Amino acid sequence: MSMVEKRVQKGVERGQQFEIFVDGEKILAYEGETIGAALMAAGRRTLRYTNKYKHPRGLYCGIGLCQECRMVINGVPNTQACQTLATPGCQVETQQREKYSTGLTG
Amino acid sequence: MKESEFAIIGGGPGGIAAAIVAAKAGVKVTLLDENERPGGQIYRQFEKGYKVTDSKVLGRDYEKGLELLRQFSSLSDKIRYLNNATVWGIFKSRTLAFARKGTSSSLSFKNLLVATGAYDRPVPLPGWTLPGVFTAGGAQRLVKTERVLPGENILLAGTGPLQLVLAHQILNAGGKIEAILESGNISKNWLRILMGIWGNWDYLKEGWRYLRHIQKAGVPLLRNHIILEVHGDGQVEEAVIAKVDKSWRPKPDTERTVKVDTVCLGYGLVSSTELALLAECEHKYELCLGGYIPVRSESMETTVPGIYAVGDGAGVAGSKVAIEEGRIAGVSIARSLGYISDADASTRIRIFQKHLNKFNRLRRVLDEMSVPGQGLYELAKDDTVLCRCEEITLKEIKKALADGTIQAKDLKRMTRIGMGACEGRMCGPALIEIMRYQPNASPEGPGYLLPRPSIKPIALGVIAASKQEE
Amino acid sequence: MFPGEAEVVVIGGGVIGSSTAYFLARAGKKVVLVEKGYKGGEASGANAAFVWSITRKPGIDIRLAMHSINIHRQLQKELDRDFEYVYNGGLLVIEDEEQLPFVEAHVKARAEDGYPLEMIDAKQVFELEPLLSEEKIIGAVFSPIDGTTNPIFLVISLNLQAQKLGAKIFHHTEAREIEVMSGKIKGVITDKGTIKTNTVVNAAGCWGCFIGEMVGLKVPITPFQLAMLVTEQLPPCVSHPIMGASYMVEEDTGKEGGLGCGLIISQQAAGNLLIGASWRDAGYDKRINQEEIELMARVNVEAMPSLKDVRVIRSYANFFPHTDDDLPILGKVDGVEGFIMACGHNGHGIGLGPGSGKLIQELICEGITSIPLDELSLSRFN
Repeated sequence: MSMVEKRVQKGVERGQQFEIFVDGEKILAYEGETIGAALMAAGRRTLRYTNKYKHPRGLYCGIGLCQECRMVINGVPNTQACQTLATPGCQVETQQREKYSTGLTG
Repeated sequence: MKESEFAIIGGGPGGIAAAIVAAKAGVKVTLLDENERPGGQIYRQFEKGYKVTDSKVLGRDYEKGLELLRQFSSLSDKIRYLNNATVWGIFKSRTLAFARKGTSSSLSFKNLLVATGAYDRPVPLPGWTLPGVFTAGGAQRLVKTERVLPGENILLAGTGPLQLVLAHQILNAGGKIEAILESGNISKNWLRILMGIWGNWDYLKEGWRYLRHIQKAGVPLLRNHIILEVHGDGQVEEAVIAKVDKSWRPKPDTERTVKVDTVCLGYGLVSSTELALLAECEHKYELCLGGYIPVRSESMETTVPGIYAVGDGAGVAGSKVAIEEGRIAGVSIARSLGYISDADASTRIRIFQKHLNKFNRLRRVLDEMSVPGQGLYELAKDDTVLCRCEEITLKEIKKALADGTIQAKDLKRMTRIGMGACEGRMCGPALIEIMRYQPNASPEGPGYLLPRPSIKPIALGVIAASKQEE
Repeated sequence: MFPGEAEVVVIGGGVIGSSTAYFLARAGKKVVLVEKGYKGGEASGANAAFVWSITRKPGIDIRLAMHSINIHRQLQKELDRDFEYVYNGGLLVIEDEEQLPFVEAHVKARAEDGYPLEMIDAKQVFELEPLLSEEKIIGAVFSPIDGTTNPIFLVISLNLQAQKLGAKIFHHTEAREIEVMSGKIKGVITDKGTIKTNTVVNAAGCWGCFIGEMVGLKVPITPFQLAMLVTEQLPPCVSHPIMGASYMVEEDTGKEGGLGCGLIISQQAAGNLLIGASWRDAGYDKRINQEEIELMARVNVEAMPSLKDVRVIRSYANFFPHTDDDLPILGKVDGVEGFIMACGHNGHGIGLGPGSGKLIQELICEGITSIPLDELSLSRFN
């Protein structure tokens, strides 16, 4: 996907700009922006792969109901990207059952 | 345990309106809102960090909402407002459980108002799980309050005026729309009326401007069209569309493919009834009002005494109706608690009722036109996933149906449909429609997937850190 | 077509009724099963999913459990549809010193009966289940033969296979009356029609007492609620069914009508954790109260602290058929020829059900069972 600017400037000014890490890669985010929105703005649409058929899933309902945007955020799996605000330096991983441990420690 | 004389679940227009009238009458109100700030989905406010420089471009409902919210916050000494509070259960002891700030609390109530709103009607079709397919509401949330466009070349498919609102917002934000598909058989004139009577009442005047805006931008508005399939390798690359007949079934030889990277599906809304169902309120089936909805008296009371329901969560009708219903519920509760006299309450309810009747007349027109055609639920193919969480396909559902399963709750057990993390919200409404049209369908209908606490996913640690009183 | 007659009518479509119908059909009997609700709609579809022997008592209890585990393994080979039966061994974890005497007495009694159990220390427990809390667990009883299953899929598989072998299964069909003449079973009257038969199997679980009443029998079964939580799916992280030893301590079981809760954790094939369990005497009421859910969360998070970030997506409750000696009621009854009891499994229906079904089939077809049922007869309550 080409990198057409998806952040709309009209009508609002954004707060502090910072970087977050998605699968180790840096992307931009702003204060008050959800991780889901920052990912959409960066053109990263696949947020997780399903357990059974390993199908990609992205942001869908955007209001916290569908659970499609579950990612591993700061080490905690099954965290909803559409409901979690980005914070400077936060670590986000595409959720894929084969690749993440439970995130649980003894 | 301390008892709240009036607890409200939901900080959208209905909940807020009820809180305002009740608090003004002297009722001690507790409002539990899942969001950071009041407003619900329609009056959703910006997160901290954003500064609004031109509220005009954010639309008039945003401004209108601010007014109601100002009234609400001016009563902050009378209304106990609990933000970020996710209600996860209602129990027969007339208590509710909610998660907030990492702990779970319980609140016992004398009167309860369920104002939980609605969400986009999920419609399974081939390719609907691809990244790049959004619900209209999801796309709207992105554009409206995150100010991020969902994609570069967008197809809107669905029915009703919310699509036009979304189109206007996308265009206004500088986005590109390939086309808008309206599955209903709706003339230009109807669309204008619909614009007004849907919740976004203020759009009545602006409706024409929106249509003009869409036309001027050169976006085709294709009536009697439907989206059949979405294709793409890993994300949306194209969509197959077709003309439809009155039942929303595709007409032969009208199929064509459009190159788009984003699809927004907006087939109206379905009510969030999990809490009302859990509270054992009786429900009735009304397809056009959002599926199974609570049965209510004129004062908005459900069949469970002291439990009221208003707004889209009790039958999808938009924010204007939600506000009037909320006011009626608020006054009724103030009366039942003895804060206002019967006469005073009746006078006030009559006024609200008058407004409501006016809206309802138009609403019936809307209802007739926004009923999804039967063809909508024939789009899924055998390998289409109906249950996004458990990845249950139509084929698996058909097999269980052929095996004699006639109730939705049994189908859940047989196939695992609805057993995932969304707790049946994304598959339930379509499942009911598919089951309704089965040859062996039970005359009482398929029923619904019974919600069970926690009705939203809640971390065990949060529930374990429960406080006895809140 | 509703059948006018059958060699055997099984009342109840849970795991016990379905196993019975399957084994009877396999043995060539003309069997009809009637179920007032739907497949596994009651306790068989809402339980801890254990196929378990550790806490079974010496004597008939452990014999029935061992027999049933063997039948489970046999079914895994015989049934067409998989039911996710896995056995890596089960753990009864000891949470405090007070539980130790109860556990030791049980282990000793089992060894004397010829069914020894292995005690393991805390270090061995954490090797098996690294997520358990080192502060909380002091040791465990390990049984290599125990495991978990998918109870709903088990019931579905039994149903499908029974039908394939000629059994007729009718759901949403309620037995209303049982015809008895001169002390002999003559037929079952249902809301869909009457089935002439000489043999009726009462596999109605908690409703077994009402079926008993139809032939004038007092069946001392009462409902007892069991509640569980379901989490969302996780990668494999719990490989054994885990039960807390509080279940061995009489005082902790909550059987006096109050609320009881003991540690239960297992992971289903799909990845969901089943977390439990709480008990209370709630009559025929499946609704869970908030205290139960909170108690389950607390007890389990304490034993496995990392569960704190795992989200609960639903809960379920059911009532299991309770008898005073915790043993099922199996076999013929005095005074009503052709009436056979197969209920009262006290929350062990999934573990003991398939074995019970096989024994009932043996009783009907051969008149003799591979495990004597005398100790499980209804007359023991007289």
